[in-house]
Amino acid sequence: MSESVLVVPLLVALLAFAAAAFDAVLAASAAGSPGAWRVWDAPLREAARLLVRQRRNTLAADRLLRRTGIAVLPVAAVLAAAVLPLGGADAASDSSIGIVWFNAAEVAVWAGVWLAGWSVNSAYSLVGGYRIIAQGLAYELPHMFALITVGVGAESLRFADAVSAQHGLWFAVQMPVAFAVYLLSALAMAFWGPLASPVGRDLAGGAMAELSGADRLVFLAGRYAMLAVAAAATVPLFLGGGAGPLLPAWLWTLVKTLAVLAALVWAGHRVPVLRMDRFMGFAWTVLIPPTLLQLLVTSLIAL
Amino acid sequence: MGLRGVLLRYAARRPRPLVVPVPGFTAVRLAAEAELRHRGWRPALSPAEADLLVVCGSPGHGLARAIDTVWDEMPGPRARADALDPSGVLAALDAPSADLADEPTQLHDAATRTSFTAEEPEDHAAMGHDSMSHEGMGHGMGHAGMDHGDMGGHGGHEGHGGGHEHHMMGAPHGLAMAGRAPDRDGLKLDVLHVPFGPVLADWPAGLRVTLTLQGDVVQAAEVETLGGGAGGERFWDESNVPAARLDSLARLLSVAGWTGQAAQARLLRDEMLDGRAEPARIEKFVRRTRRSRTLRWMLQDVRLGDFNAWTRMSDLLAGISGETPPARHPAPLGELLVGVDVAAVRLIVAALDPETEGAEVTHV
Amino acid sequence: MWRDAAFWILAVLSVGTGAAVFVVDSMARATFALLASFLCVGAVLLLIDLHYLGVLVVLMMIMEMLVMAVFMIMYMMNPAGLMPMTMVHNHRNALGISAGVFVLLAGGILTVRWPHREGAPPADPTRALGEALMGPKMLVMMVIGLAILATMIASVVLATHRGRYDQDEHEHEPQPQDAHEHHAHEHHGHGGAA
Repeated sequence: MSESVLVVPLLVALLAFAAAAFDAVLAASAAGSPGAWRVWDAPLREAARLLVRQRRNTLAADRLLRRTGIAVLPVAAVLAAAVLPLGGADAASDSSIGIVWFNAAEVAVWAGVWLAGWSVNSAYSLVGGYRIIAQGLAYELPHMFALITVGVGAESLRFADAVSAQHGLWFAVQMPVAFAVYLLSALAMAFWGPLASPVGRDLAGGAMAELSGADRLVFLAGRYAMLAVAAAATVPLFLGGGAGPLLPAWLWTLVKTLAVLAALVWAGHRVPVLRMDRFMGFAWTVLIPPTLLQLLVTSLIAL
Repeated sequence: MGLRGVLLRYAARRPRPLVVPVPGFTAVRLAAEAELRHRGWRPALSPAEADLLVVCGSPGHGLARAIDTVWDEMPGPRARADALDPSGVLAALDAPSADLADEPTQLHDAATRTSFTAEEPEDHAAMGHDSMSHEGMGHGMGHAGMDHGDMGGHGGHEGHGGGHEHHMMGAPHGLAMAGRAPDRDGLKLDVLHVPFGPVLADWPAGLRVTLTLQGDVVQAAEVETLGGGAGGERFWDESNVPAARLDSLARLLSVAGWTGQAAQARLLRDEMLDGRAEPARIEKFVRRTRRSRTLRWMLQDVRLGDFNAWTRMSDLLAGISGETPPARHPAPLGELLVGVDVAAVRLIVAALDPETEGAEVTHV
Repeated sequence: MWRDAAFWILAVLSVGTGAAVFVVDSMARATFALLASFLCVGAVLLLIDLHYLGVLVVLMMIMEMLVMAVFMIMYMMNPAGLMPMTMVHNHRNALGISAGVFVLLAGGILTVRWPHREGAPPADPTRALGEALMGPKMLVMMVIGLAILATMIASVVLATHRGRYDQDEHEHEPQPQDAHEHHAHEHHGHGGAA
């Protein structure tokens, strides 16, 4: 328990670095830069660059809210990670309501992005912050139904119970709709790829358009950390946790996490960004009915 | 030479450039983009993100002022590269990236920046001068703040408190407040005047669109073009139509958020201009773009007149394959933008991709 | 021991941030001061081992305050500290009313005879809560749930007849999630243009 408290932030940081490095390599490779692999150290250079960089203080910014919002991102990611089982080892906190806890930590990210967008007093950032709420309201209902489906399947809100409930068959197979919806909302949690409109290119970076220096570093670190944690949560929720042949449980957890994380990062380069007005309608009219149906089916099986 | 110097030099190996295209100097921009790609430098989206400002060409007066504003808004360490012709790009990039690594140069820059006003105490950050002031009416994009009038820095603090009934007191920081206007539901709501361009990633060179926004819905739009300076010339002509189409497509795909495909379009564009493009790869690019249902879903409701952004993209793709698309009749840009949201504004501008080469200051 | 300390810290924080709602000069700060107050209350629930309820309070309050933020932007476009404004109005009467309510509540708390605890808390409060909701309290929950849903739908229907983004209702929205139809759809959607 006590070691895991130290291990979790470290693991999250390493996974976040892996995600950022892979993203840089993918971007360089898509751009056709010669030897794309050599930019694997881009996150380190970016961190160094931002550490020595001045903060950008826009006129009449709300500094307190800006810093609060930015700090929320990495904190929320680590808190969300705290309830995830680390394969063979226990979670840092084996909470009986881990799934709800995870959900709450992830919703805190909205607050962080909104605060960061609002507080710098720039219209681009403001619209970016506005979009995270629209996005949140769009994905959250299907996402919650997906999580509840897992809870019903496991007959518990504890991550460890969800893992042991999958000894027969992975939830990814038992409840494919919930799995697909979860993957989509994993992108939304980190406002990544097709769901990156809060920090969209069309707004010159949206909620983070005006962030520079340490502010930007913490914001980006928090975003990659959230992406990593969203990927890591897929493993106990849908991919059987540490279950697998030959390898030890912790290694299986790591392998599966990295695979999901790589897929999420890759999707970021391969799919256009969804506009919020379109996505909102899609999420509520197209995504919710099948997730409810999935929930019904799972409940009937559980009974 | 402390830790800061080490970090500076480590980071300067791969700066984040903000590329500023200038009408009439397309060749310079293309050369700069190719060189950045070659070096593996990932372009920045905003002045706050960038540490290297790459001005591609010689801007006219209005554009030069806008670029200077953006330059003023860039936090240090920073460096500026002005390239006037394609062959000068290499040299223009080398000197500033050396400056970025040089601690004394950067400290001197931070200490001598006149446009900076010292921030109110309470905040001490990395390099001491942790302050930016917004200036003038929005030239660049960084400044997409509020519709404050001309002002050099922080005006005095107005007193807070007092007042009553949720109303605002005075004009804090000497800024004009957002005005109000009726919205389409008959409510009287705040409006903001937000400039887009001319310094903005994936945006036509020299174009500036000033939007009157309620929330993220456009109530009015004013379109103008800031031209390039002497020495500019038309780059796109009949001889390189497919490459020009790819250039437009790259911006459209990038604004639509399909970064991988946008990068591919730029790569193919440059290969095509060099005459070494493989038809099979172009074919694959066209097929893959056309087949994206997500892209069509995002583009097909964006109206451009008697056609939409998706048909426009199909036309551009057809242009690459050498076909002649049917004639279309776009409505004037300023009219199209009214009533849509910001995301659609960017798609409309990128899809129409108004020609700005060689234009002097004009109102479209 | 540490629970006592944590309780008192959270209690002071929640009252303090609650009071801050009326002291700060921006709507955003007021909203998030209120949120901080609720989060402290959620943490107090965690402290007495009502884990599910505590986390639920945290989750729902963050979402609710953010929805409030949407209204904030709707009515007021000036972000950040641009527009300091007072968070109170109708000063004198408001003070009178709140003092009255405070006296009433405090009087109630002090005068009422609190029952003594009978029995022990359940081993798993979450399960106990679920069984109560699905058992004896089911009718109440169903009625409340339906009422809330009906209110939501009714207010949305009343508020808008065309949607936030003025969408064309006749438009066909393709659904991008099934990849199998790629080929089938490729050509008739825009075949003419290519």
